[in-house]
Amino acid sequence: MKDNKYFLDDKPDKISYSEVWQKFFNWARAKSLWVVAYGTGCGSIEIPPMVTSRFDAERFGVSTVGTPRQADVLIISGYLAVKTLKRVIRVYEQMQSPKYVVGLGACTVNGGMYYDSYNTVNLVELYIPIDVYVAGCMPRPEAILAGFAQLMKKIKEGRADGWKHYLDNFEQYRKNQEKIIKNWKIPNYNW
Amino acid sequence: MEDLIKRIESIFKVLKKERGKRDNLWIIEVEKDSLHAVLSYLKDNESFKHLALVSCVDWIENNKFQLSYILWSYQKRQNLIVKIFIDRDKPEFKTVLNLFPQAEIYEREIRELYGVSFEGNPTQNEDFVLEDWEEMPPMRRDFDTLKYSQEKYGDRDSEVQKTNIRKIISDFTDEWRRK
Repeated sequence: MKDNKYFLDDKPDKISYSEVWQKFFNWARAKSLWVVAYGTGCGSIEIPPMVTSRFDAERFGVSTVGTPRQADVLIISGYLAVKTLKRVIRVYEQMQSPKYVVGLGACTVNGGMYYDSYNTVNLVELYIPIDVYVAGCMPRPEAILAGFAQLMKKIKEGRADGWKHYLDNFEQYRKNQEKIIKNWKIPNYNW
Repeated sequence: MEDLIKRIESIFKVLKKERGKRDNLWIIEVEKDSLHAVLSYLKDNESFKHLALVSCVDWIENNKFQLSYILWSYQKRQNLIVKIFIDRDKPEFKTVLNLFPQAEIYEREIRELYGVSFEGNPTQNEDFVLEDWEEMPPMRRDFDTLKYSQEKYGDRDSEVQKTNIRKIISDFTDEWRRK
């Protein structure tokens, strides 16, 4: 939607820092991961116990935030319908980079028990890059915390670069998305 | 509840009647032209004021769609299912919005998932759960969901470790019984 003046379609500039700074940033980023309060499937019911007092994800620096603009992590919690995928892409593109995606449950890996459903996306990684998968149907909050520990390790080592992959292969991702979303009403990119 | 069925039979032509799984659940089949009259009679005279559900069944062998109207009476605490059959090649019927306004959303759902159109329902063509659906309605039994899913969403190209879970469970339980 090029003619819409309210959306910015330009891609962001890539700023490169020296390796020492990069390591410092990664160390700092891993210590405070803010999660968008957005649930897509049945897995979203596992998020409230994770962030509240019983499992208390905040001791690892994982907290929820109500807006994608301030968030670092998007959790794809369970099955993803085409209708939801539109919203997920919108939320993902609104997040500021660096951003990370956690795929929760068997449905994000290969469709899970909905592998033959007419409305569930089988491979989420075709449409948005996923950094960490947590398998299970559904995974318990302990498993989600283990997944977050894995994500923190990846960030510290500088390997959680799904958002860079999305930027570099943007045309390919957009082609995959437009293959299943027929009526594309959202802007080309809302950075 | 048999009295009620007898009273209905004295006025309308009941093609088939059977008791459900409970004492207060009966299922009757009526002709499709008399459905509105039956529902109206049940609502006004027999206190079946609550339409709980409109559902659809695809009988592909008989080339028919079954529409079931599930009614509930608060005073008598009884369920009554009124069902009709419509032609599968010509999936059209009239709405019951004038009797039960809550039928609007059920009819919209059936329109989207089974392709049965309800004459007189103003919102039936709006999207219900699917957006931009172009194929045949997905809940029809001749719709191949596995083929559609593999064509549209792809499949993971990796080795799948196939394990016979039933055998593992039965072996485990056998072992457990022997102890």
